[in-house]
Amino acid sequence: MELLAVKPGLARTWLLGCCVLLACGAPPSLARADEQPPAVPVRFEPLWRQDIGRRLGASLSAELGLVAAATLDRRVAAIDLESGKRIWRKKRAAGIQGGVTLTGGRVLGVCDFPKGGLFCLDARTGEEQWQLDTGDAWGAPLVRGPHVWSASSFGEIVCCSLATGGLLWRAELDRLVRAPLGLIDTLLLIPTVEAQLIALDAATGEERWRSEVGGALYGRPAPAAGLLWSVSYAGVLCGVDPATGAVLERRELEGLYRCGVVSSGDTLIALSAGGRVTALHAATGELLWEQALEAASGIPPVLAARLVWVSLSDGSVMALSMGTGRVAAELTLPDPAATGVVVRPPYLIVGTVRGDVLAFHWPDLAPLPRDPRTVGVSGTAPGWRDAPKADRRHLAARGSSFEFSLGAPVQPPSFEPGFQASTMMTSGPVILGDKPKDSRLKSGRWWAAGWIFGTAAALWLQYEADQAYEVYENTGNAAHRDAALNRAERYDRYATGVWITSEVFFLMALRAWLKGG
Amino acid sequence: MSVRRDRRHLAWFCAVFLGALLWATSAGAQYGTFGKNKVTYREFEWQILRSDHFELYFYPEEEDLARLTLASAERSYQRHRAAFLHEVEGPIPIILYSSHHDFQQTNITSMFLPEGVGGLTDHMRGRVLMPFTGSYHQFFGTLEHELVHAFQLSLNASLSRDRNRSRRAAVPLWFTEGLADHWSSEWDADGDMVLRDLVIRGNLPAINEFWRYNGTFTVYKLGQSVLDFVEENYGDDKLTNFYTDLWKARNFEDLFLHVIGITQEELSSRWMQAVRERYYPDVLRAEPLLHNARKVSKYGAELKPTPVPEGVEGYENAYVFISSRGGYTNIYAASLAGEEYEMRTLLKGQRNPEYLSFHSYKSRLDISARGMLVFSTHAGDRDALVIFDLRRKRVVNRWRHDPLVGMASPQWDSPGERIVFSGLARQGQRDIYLLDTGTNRLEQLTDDLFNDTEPTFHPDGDRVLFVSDRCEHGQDGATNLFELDLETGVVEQITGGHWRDLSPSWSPDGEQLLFVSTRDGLRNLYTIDADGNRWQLTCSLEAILDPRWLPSGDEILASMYREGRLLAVVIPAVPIGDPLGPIGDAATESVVAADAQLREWTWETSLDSIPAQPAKYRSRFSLDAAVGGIAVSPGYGGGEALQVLLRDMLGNKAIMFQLANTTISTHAFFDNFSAGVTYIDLSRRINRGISLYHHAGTYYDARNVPFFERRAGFGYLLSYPLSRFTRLETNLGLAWRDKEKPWGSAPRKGMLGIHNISWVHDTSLWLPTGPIDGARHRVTLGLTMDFHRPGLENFLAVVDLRRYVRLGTRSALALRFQGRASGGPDPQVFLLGGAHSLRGYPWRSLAGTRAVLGNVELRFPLLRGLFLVPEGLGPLGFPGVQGALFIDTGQAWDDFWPTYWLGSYGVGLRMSLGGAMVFRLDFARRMNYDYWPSKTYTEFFIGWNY
Repeated sequence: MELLAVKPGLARTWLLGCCVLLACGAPPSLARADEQPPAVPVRFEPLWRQDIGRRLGASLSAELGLVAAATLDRRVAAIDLESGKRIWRKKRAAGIQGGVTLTGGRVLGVCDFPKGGLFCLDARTGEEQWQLDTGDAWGAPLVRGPHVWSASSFGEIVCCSLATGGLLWRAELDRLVRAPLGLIDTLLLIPTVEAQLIALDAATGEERWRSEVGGALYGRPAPAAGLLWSVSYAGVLCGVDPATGAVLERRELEGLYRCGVVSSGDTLIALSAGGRVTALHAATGELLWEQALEAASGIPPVLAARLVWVSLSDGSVMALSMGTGRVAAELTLPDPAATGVVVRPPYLIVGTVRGDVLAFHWPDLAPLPRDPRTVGVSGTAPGWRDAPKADRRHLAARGSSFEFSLGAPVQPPSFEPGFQASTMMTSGPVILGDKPKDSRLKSGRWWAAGWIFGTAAALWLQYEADQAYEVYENTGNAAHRDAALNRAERYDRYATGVWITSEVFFLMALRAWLKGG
Repeated sequence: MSVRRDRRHLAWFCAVFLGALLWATSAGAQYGTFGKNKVTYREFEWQILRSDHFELYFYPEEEDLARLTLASAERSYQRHRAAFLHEVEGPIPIILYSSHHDFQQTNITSMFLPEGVGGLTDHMRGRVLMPFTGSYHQFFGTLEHELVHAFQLSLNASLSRDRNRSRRAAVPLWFTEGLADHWSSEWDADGDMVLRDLVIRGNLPAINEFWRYNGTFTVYKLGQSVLDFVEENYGDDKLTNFYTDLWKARNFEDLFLHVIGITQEELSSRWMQAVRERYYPDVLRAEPLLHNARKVSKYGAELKPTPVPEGVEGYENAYVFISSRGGYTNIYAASLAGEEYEMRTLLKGQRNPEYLSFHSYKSRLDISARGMLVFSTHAGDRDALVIFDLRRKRVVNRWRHDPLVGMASPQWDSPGERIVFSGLARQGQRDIYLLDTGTNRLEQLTDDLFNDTEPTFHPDGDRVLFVSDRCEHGQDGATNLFELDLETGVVEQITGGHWRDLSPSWSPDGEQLLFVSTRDGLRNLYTIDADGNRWQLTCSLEAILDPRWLPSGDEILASMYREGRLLAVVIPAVPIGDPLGPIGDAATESVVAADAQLREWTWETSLDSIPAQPAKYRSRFSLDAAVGGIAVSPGYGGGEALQVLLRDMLGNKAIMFQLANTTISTHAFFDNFSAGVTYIDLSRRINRGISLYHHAGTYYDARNVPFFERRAGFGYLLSYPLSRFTRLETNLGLAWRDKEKPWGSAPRKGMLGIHNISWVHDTSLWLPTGPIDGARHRVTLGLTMDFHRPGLENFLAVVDLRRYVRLGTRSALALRFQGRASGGPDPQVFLLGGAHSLRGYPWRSLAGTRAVLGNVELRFPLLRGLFLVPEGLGPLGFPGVQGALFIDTGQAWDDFWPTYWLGSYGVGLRMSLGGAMVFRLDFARRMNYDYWPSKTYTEFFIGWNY
């Protein structure tokens, strides 16, 4: 009470601060429990959502019960596939635009310009195993067996050992590369912006051939009907002889293409930037089907469970029947996707532009037999230490209900041979969505707290300075006067600094709150 | 002096600084007592149409246009989304105006929008503002251009967010505008005109020099040319890659290597080579116009040159034109007899509300045989036709017609009784109209969606020829010539083709029709004779515009584009070579028979997502700006201020919150809080505002006497613009005030009623350093009553008169007289001294309740620009330097301390770094008319000249 009487200003500030803190700290998400899905059979069940960072890189990777993801703001993380708990999260020297590859208990990625650098982390702990100085990359590293390949945006290709990171060979192509590499048999394929598809010997780095393919390439080539197929930005689809690099087939597609072409058997599937999905028979060139989706896309489609999964800029993921192209299912995300979907039955995983990794349960998919090597928080793998607790939020946003109907019977899950669902390819989609409100509250809360504490601290420092000035003015002892003056000036300086800092906090809190509104 | 007292200087400093921060929303607030007015002539009944990606704001007269606009915008959105691979967050607001006159009334931006602005994208909220001017092709092209900007802004914002980088390359203007043009329009004859001129003259800039053309049409075309070249040689995909890679570089030029694989310098070299290869061959097929023509222009800024008919006394062998060479746009008359001539000003524009603009790029002039000049002028909220008697040198008649907002290119018939002109109606339709000046009867000759312009009478008076896009390729921007029979009303196509035929003019004998055409890629002159044969008169490297026959019939007066200017030239009307063939020749013209050529344009107007009924517009406020400030004096303490501005989508209504604190101790923290909220309504002609406030703190008066004052109350603000140049302002308020002075005076506590009224007039023309022409006047009367002890608190009278006498293009004599007086029990104290008033004396060193100030300053240019080229760094440019010679005089006094006249004289230098960042350095010596001390005082100041 004495405090209230003597220093009303301070008390009022504390009271105000507590109110602000409470307002900002209101628990989010629980209020969304009232958002119940309509009475439609729900076939995709949202499982978990994990916040990794600011914005995800181009690909996720999942293996052995883990999901690995990386963000543009330098974070790499591993998440338990079943529980959604974040096992670890590490910060790298620069952002990772191309995403990461998870394979053999390792997470590999490449940092962005200008620092660059191919790195390898332990999938269980996140500890760095090795790092190799390379340039940046637009795609996740390519792994096969004991070898890793990566290409920088300036055309520097490296091959190194998966185990040690030891450089095996390096090639300088003097070309701009803005697409992930491809690996077909012994050929390492490099799509370039200068309208060339370049093939190197994967083992030695020796150039085999270069092929002019009618335009800038932003996607990985795909094999079909004995040829290697690529589609250029302007829609020129070329079939190249893998032995010689000669262009044997050439067709013109409508639209602009930023993510290459994918194949399943003899079927080629191309996705234009305007959302047009085209399926062609590679051998005959016959148009099998076309589907115009009502949004843009720069993320390559994923083939899984006989469906073509397309991530769109409006926050939806469409699954098209591979046979007919009809829309078989639609998934609505709270934010637009930043990656293609990863299907690990019975799970469906996708990353968003807000840095979230979302997992869904797809009950119609029979799960794969459990691999004894699976690692996870449940601790089935020997030698595990307890994973640290991490945030876990249930997916509770718009679009929780889904319709799911198939034009064709659901087959047991199978994956196309040679297709790595973990290696998504994109040229860096830039898609926005709404910022969830709880993020606003979360960030605003901390800034507001900083402002409150800073203001209180500044007031206290000023109070101390006032006290010292009182002594200075009222004491007759010269030594005491000097000491009091020094003390007063010192506290004044401290108060000044704290005032400035608390003001910055206030403006940041206001900005965070208003931005989210 | 005790330490504590020293700390009080902080409070004074903080109060001044924070006060400036609070009230100085822009640097103009320093001189915010003047300024021109944006007049809202009409209240628009705004409605909203929503689609998947847009919110379109429109008013009922333009609903059809609004639906077409929305459909076009959605189509553009699909294209841009695929090209940018980006989705814009939230609906893009489009605000549609059916004319440029309405567009200029927008409150979204406080800038005055020149006629050359075809559209605007606002950076704060991504709003796209679009005026319609009659041409659908041009309108949709501009819409697509502005939507590119909307995507650019959105992409930039997402980049900052995703990459969390504040320091990254800034996109130069040539790229931003060049990309917008590249993706919204084809390369056309105007682009050829600009680039050919640069190439032929040897002035083609490298890419790193494009900044010199910022703010001009040239930078758009340079940018478009470079990006067309990049697309052609490296692919269109590279253009968006510049944006996705923006975060990688601090300088935009570094990005070229990342995106294209070559440096900017190398690209520049290749582009320049390509452009030269394209235009150098023109030298083989065309020649400089002046090889055959005669230049009559002196300054190179003569637009719409119009010959005066023979027999007009005082104007023998003369011509009339519009020019803005002096800054203001005026109508002049000059002699055609070579360079030695006397130029006369007939009408001054931009200083009179009746002559806001003469539409110098869009509307022709004409003079009847009796010497009656007719022209179109922007007066108030619409255009008027004005008739000016050349002999009597005065305006003799004026017409306005309510349904018409725009009136352009008026042309007399031979007897000088009827005028035909192009009129723009409120709903955005441009047609040909006929006005009988004797009966004042107005007849609409065409009534359709086509853009009909530049009409002209046949000398017989029975036919009207005009330019229209009602041709086969009109939807792609082509314009051809059409003839309307006044008796039958039948429209016949005269020329046809996928090019632009413009500016028709009949010869005095009615035998030849003259026009400009871009059919051969250049802008050249053609004629059609009485037999229907076409002849080419010029094959010129320079573009030719606005040709008119001279009275003799064997020469033509026209404008020639050269080095970025329009020069008046006289061209012999001698055909080149053989006739090109008759009109109607299918091999060269695609002329359709009369009555069959009226094509119906079709657009995709049905969009399932556009609701049938629009929604009514309701003001919803959102954040436009938040500004915070801190004033700190280390060792003494600090203070803070915050200002938040909310506005509605159309900028008509605003709410401003202000918060400040100037505490110097913890005890006084809550005693020194100042807060205020102000609501402003600009939606009507009369601008209104209401504010509630509480101010508290320790202040220092003019004599450095501290006092604590707490004042709480409300104020009502009204501003009524009489015209763009003149307004009345009034401020009414009621406040409770508690003012304490530590010694001497008794405290003053009471309820105050405040009333100020001001008359403001401003026609000034500015250079970057300050006004250079025109005048600025302000008269304020104020009265403050104390209701607590009934009586006068104080009165206030201020007269501030400024006049700028133009001496040259960049020099003037600036005169200022300022008289201020206040009285009553608590009068206001006025301060003189310092660089902003009486130079050579300490800042605010003279105080009194009466003050008089006089300034005379001669302003002249010293250096136009300063460029240094230090080794290894490249060219460094500095803006020009202005010099000044000045004499100041003034005095301040009150009832108890009479003073004597003081004066000073000296020289000064000014350099503008942009906006209010004008560096001023003055060297002054004092004088009091009895003695003249030789000490020189140096003062440095940042701010505009008075």
